[in-house]
Amino acid sequence: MTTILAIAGLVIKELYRRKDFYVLLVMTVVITAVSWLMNFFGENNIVRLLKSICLMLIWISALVIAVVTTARQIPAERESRTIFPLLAKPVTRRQVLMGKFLGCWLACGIALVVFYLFFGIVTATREHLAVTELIKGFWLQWVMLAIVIGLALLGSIVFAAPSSNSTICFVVVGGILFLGGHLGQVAMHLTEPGRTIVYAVYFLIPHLEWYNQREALVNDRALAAWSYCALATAYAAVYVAALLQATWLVFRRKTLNV
Amino acid sequence: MKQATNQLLILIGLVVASFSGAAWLAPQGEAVAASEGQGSLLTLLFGEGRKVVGSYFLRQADVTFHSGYYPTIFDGAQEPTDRRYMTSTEGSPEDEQHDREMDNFFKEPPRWDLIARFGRHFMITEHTHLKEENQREILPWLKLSAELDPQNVQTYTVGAYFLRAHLHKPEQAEKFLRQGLRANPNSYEILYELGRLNLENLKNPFRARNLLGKALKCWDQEEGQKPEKERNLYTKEEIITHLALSEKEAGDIPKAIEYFEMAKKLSPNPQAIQNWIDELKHGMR
Repeated sequence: MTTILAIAGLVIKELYRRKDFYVLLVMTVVITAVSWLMNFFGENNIVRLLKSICLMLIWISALVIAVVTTARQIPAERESRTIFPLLAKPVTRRQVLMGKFLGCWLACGIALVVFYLFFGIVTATREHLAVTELIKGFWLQWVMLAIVIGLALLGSIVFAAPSSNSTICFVVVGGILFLGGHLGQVAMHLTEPGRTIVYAVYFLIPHLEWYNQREALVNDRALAAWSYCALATAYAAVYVAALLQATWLVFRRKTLNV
Repeated sequence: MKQATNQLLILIGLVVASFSGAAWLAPQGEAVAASEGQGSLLTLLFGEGRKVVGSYFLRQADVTFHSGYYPTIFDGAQEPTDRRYMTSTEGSPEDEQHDREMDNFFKEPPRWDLIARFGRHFMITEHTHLKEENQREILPWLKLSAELDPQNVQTYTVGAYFLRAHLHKPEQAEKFLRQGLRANPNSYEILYELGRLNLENLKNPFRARNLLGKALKCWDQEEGQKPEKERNLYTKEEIITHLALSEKEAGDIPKAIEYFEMAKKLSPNPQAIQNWIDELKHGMR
C-alpha cells in the first residue's frame, strides 16, 4: 500500500506542477464572472443561468483533467524510460497501475474540491446554499471520474498515443452521458438483430448519466437519497475493478520498449 | 540575461500584435453586423445557425420554468412547441392540457429493466412550475433567444407576460415587446400583448385601443388567408374583448358594447359576455 501511495503522490505533484488545472480554473472563473456581470431586464438576483454555466464548465474541466492526466501517465513513463528504474525496485506492474489510478483519482478530487468551492461561493452570494446536495453532487461526479480514469488508463495501454486515447475517451464518455440512458428506449423500437445488439450495449456500458446531477443542482431539486448514492458508488466500484483488471491483463505482458 | 530580454521582446511583440488585431477586427465586425442589421456579438458568432441556437434557448427557458422536468426526444412525447400554457392561468384549458401531456411523458420502465428503474432515482420526476419571483430565472434564456431568433414571436409574448404579470416590470415588458415589434411589425400577438399591457398595467386605454385595433387588422390579414379550422380564433376573441374593455375605460360605451357583441360570437362562454353587455346597457340608462 505504501508503494501505491508513493506512486499516487507523484501523480498528484504532477497535477499542481502542470498548468492544465490552473488554466481551466481561471477559464471557469473568468467566464462565470462575465456571466455574473450580465444584466437581464434589470433583475439582479438571477442565479440559475449563472449556476448552469459554472457547473457546465466544471464538468468539462473535470473531464479534461481526468482524461488528459491519465492518458499520458504510462506513455510518458515509457517514453522517458523512467518505467525501467521504477520496475527495477520492488514494485510490481499491478502496483504501478494501482498507484497511477489512485493518483489520478485523488488529483481529480483535489481539483474538483477547488471547483465546487468556487461554485458554492457563487451560489451562496445569490441564494441559500444547500450544502448536503452540493456534497452529493460532488461525490457522484468524483465517483463517475473514477470510471473515466479507469477507461483512460486502459486506453493508455491499448492505444499508441495519448492523443488518440484522449479523443476516444471523450467520444465514449460523451456518448454515454448523452445517449447511454436512452439506449433501452431506442432498442425497443428496433427489429432483430439490432434490438439485441443495442440492448447488449445498454446493459454493458457504465451508466455515467446517473452521476450527472447538474440539472438538479441548478434547479434546487433534491438529489437522490444517500442510500442510492451508495449503491451508485458500489456500481462504479465494480466497473473500476473490472477496468483495472483488464488494464493489468494487457499491461503485465506488454513490452515496455518504445 | 539576453535570453530573458528576447523573451520579453517576444511577449511585447505578441501583445502589440493581439492589440492591433483586435483594433483591426472590431470595426470590421461592427460593419458586418450593421450591414446585416444585427448588432449583437451572439448573432455574429452563431451566423446562420442562430435560429437553431435561439430555439434551444427558448426550450431552455421552458426547462427552467419546469425546474429541469422536461421530456427529451427519446421520451416518446412530443416536446411542446406551443408555449401558450406558460402564460395561461392555473386551471385554464391550456394549463390542464399541458398538465396531462407533461404528467404522462415519463412511462414506467419494464420490470426487467433494472438500469432504467434504478436510474429514475437520479432523475427529476416531479412536474412543477416556477412560482412568483423565481420566475425571473427564465428571463435570461428568453433574452438570449430573442437576440438570436428575433422572428420567434412567442419569445416576446412569454417574456413580456412574466415581466408584467409576475415581476411587476411593465416598462421592461413594453421595451421587450417594442423590440419584438421592430423585428415583426405585423405580429398581432405582440400588438395584442402591447395593448393589454397598456390597458391593464400602464393604465392608458387610448393607446391600448389603437394597439388592439391594429392587432385586429393584422389578425385579419394573417389568419384570414388560412382555412377556417386553422385560424387562431382564441386570440381574436381575446383581442376583441380587450378592445371592448379599452373602449369602456376610454368612455365610449356604445363602441364597447359593439365589440362585446362581436366577441360573444367567438366566445366559448357567451353568457359571461352577455352579462357584461347587460351591465354596460344598465349603466347607460
